[in-house]
Amino acid sequence: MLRILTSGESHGPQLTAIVDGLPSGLAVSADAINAQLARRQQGYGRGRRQAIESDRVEIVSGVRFGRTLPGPITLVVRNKDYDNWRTKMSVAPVDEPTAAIVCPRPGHADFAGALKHELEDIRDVLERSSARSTAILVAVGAVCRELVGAIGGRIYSQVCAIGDVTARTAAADQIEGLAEAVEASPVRCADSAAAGMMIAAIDEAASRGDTLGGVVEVVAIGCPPGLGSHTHWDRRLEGRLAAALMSIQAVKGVEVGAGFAGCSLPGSEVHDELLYDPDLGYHRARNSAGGIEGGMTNGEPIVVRCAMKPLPTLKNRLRSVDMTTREAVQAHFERSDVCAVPAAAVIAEAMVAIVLAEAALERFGGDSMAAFQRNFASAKEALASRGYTGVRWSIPSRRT
Amino acid sequence: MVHSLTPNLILIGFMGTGKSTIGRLCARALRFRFADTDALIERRTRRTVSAIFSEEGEPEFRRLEAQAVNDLAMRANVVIATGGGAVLNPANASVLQASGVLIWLRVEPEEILRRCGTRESRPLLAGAAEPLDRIREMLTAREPYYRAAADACVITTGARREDAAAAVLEAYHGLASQWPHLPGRRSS
Repeated sequence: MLRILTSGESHGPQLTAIVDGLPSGLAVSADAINAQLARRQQGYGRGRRQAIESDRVEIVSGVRFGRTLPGPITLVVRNKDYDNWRTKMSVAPVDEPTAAIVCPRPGHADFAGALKHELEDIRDVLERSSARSTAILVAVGAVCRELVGAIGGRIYSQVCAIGDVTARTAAADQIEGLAEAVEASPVRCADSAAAGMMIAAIDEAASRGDTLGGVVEVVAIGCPPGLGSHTHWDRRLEGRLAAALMSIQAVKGVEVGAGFAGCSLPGSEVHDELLYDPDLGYHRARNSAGGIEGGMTNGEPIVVRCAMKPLPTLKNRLRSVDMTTREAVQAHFERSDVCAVPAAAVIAEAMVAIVLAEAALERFGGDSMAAFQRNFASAKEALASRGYTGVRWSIPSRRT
Repeated sequence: MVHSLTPNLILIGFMGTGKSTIGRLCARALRFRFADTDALIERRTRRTVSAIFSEEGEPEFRRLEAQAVNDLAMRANVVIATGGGAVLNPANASVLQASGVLIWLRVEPEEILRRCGTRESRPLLAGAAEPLDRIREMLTAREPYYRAAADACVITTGARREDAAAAVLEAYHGLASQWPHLPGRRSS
């Protein structure tokens, strides 16, 4: 069983994750994790913090000579900004009083958290509710991605919309070919004409002291059929993906495949007819299901999209109430971004990696990578004996 | 309005963003004619844009510009470079949208100043004490109009004119097949 626990405050000394239950012998490298951390920090519309931080991982347990040990892995990402917060975030009591935050920011955890935990200073909520915590999840996702790769899974993302600008996004099975263009785009959008409009929309929002949300898509190509299960609500893969993705700060909706748009069409235009051809093996006429049927992967690309609300910290402050005096005030302003949609795409990739790694472990198991790979090879043989040739493992692009 | 099968390519954006230069390159590549609203006005009135501005005022210039926009929009297979203020008038914007694909050229204010700061032919910058502030101020006011009218945006800061033209053509070809039913269009 894969178990993950994270800790750390936004302006505390560090973020920490403990990952337990991965097979021993899985390749782990700080470079691969750092590459993912760097991708999370890119994107047009980010604030100054991204320049301050430049996140790096430290692997402090569970890895030896580049491979996982049987024991838990501990990952650490330090908050370089902590030097400026030593007093305000001191572990020990301090003499110097720190001004409490008493005006909740609408859209954040501030109000509910202050009531729930009976807090005078809203900082005690926002330090943990902050999306800063996604940095350590991206690090965990980078480790999990390696295991997903061992079953042929490759995870990509793109931005579909920012504010009122919608890109013409390519079909899911073409995303691999567009990956380079997506990575090169400051808004992670391969439609360069729309990317220009997105950048302009972000600039316009910034000049008004406003923020923008958007839609991101994650596509996982190459995963074998049968990850997840149809048997029980908490094992169905769509639910697990949705829960993981909805846990990302500011994500308010998740759809799979044709999603909400598919609901206005008749069934004949939605469901993906099953075809067989001696050369192609089993294949589909389309992929409205987004690679998941009955809570299990069906071998087609997994396609999930997240709707991200505009960030709730506005320079042009929203109305709020001072919780000590109950007077009308403007919400507290904490340094923030104008638009974090491109970063959310990278974070969503990490969450998908975590869920798929967990599902892969359930299906193929094994205490070591050698055992895991034996189990996977034998499952592939079983699939092949039933005519599933695993064409997606070798041919990412498919019929038109 | 009658649509020709191929939409025209219309360049919008602030002064100094390369609408005329890039427009000519695109016209050559598409085998379209090139037209420029300011040039048409100057040819028709036999006066410079600055002269019209200073002697007859901006409203008269905008009237002539609307006429030029209407006339050029009726032509087929043409690349139209518009004046920097043309799409601030919503009537011009919708006439142009019915004529083709609108691509917005966008450049950082510092580069706009480098490209045209000292030229006297730019009447709206003439006499500004702090031209960069003036450009920023005008951009803040105008960019929402450019964004509302545009089908695509190409950022040309630091780009060679050939590369900028290639990016414009890529955007044009991507959108031309769907025109006039382009995503995000609020009018037309």
